Amino acid sequence: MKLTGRIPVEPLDEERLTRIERTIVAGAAEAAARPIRATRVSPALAFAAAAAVALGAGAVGWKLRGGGHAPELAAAPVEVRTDGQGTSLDIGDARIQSDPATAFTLTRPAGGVLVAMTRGKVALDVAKRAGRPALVVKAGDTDVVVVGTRFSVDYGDGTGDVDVRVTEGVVRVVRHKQETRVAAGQAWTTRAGLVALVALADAGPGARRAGAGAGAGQGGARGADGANGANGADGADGANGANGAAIGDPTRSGAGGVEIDMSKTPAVLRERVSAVPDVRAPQAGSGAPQVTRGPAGGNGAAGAGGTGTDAAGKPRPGGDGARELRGDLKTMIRAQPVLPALDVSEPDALKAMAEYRAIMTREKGPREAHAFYSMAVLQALKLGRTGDALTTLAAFKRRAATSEYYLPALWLDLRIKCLRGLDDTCRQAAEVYARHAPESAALHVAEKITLAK
Amino acid sequence: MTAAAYVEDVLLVDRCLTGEPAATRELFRRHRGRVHACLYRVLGGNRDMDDLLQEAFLQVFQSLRGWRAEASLATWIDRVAVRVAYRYLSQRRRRIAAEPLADEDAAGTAPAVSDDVPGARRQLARDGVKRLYTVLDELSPAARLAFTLHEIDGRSISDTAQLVGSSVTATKLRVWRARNRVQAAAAQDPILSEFLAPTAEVIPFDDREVS
Repeated sequence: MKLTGRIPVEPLDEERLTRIERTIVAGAAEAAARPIRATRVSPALAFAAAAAVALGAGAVGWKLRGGGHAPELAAAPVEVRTDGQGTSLDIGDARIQSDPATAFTLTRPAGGVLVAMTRGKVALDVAKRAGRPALVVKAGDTDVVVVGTRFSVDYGDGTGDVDVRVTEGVVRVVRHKQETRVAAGQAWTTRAGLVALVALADAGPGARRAGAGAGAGQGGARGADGANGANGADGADGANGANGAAIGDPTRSGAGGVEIDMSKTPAVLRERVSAVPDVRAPQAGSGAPQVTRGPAGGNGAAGAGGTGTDAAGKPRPGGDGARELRGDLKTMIRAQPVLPALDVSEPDALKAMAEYRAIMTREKGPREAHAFYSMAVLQALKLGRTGDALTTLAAFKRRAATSEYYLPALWLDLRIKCLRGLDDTCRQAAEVYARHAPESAALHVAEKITLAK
Repeated sequence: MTAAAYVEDVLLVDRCLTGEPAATRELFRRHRGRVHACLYRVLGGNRDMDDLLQEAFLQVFQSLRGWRAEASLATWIDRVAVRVAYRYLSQRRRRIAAEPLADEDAAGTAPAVSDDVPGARRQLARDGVKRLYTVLDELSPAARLAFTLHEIDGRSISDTAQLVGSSVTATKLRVWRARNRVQAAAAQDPILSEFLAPTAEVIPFDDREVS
């Protein structure tokens, strides 16, 4: 039986196609405007799916081990509560280790896994999900999305702050529509509504609770324990050391605020601090959380630029300093070399671009990646089409993340964005570069940018 | 697919993700013909095609962030379209089961066609297609997809398996069973038998629909 080509397709008329196209363009614009969601499963659907899946849970070999009481797997969703002892729950594609005094609900909506935490701490070892929907750990308004890795989520007493530590692979942490990529050796943590992403390596045991009581209590922060190292909260006076970026609370000056002090961590840790968008502009004496920067020394942003707020939340003058900083940083960025484009002995940039395209069509491997990267170099540096260059670089990063030209591409991306302006886009590019190129000669520039106000 | 085509796809997707209407239109225009042909061959006509095309492309744009650039964009879009077709067929099957309708054309009797009448062969071909899809209506959605994608749309078994998300073995089995079913029906139906004969002509459609 051979029917291929025997049933011709009757075309749709133009009017119908135009109508369809119009609907699709409108729908696509809506989809693009929608924020990235950690999970697309509605609570109702999640519950329904969980009910169905849990019925078959026994059949797929879920088993509970450890000292905690076994949840009723036949019922859905599965609720796990531990008292004096932790438990280890093996759900086939992930193992969930929970500490004592931990509570969470486990469902499997639409093929994914949803661990909704009420309190406590869980450590997960997740197998590669290979195309299956993600595993999501939900701790309050924070979603940790994972496709295969090892990490822990500490939700403390379940009232607010979350601490995510990744020991293997990468997770995405989504909070208030803001997504952060947390890689192995990094920790993502919140204190009183502020977020910090820090390196875990060599993190000392010097973490302390903010204000040792009053601060933590009034700020609503869960103090870090000794093991939390780099995320330790400390008293705030803005005079942090060489890398003295600090997340602070102006209430500290009067009522005992909450700060995460990174001055105690070695410089090599390269802390990166980012303010979350829900942080309001500082109001003196209002008690609203704010980001403060160490005023002196090293990479401290305020120290370098002379702007920012003091511990009491009052704005400090420093407009000229900020301008100088911007000028200095741009000079430093320009001073860093850009890996040159592939030499195709073609002085005309457009012809060289055509040659790169041809190379990409006929060749594979490093030369193909170099040609791809070279297109962005030419667009940015010869043709002055920085917008096109950024688009090419975005495509390059998706396509050639493992190539040797990846870091040069990240630098070029940073260079373009930061020479346009020292804004959030630039800072984000600098953060990405600093994370991926810890050995690079340009690292200090990227670090300065991430810490700049 | 060449690297240049791949890069074009990636760049186009990046533009779509920024919500650029021109990019959305370009992507739709680039792929609509193939997706329409695929859906047409699976369903046997343009009935509900507007909704299906719309649904398929809206899903494409909604999940465009999920395209990991591992498969070609065309394959990925086809997979989305096949999923939409599968859902449509499953729902239609349930609807038909709940509200059975008398189908005069499915009675199996050959309409009176005279070879002398102009257009008679065209009519015969059209009837053959109609009867083929009547037989396919009795198959499960998965079997119908496997059969139509492989036998009518001309895709390889491995491509078909990839599109329907099944193993190659399961897909082969489905195609084989569907083929047996069609051949059994053709043994009882001279019009279908005539249509399936390898020597039968390809008759282009006029402005009338199959279903």
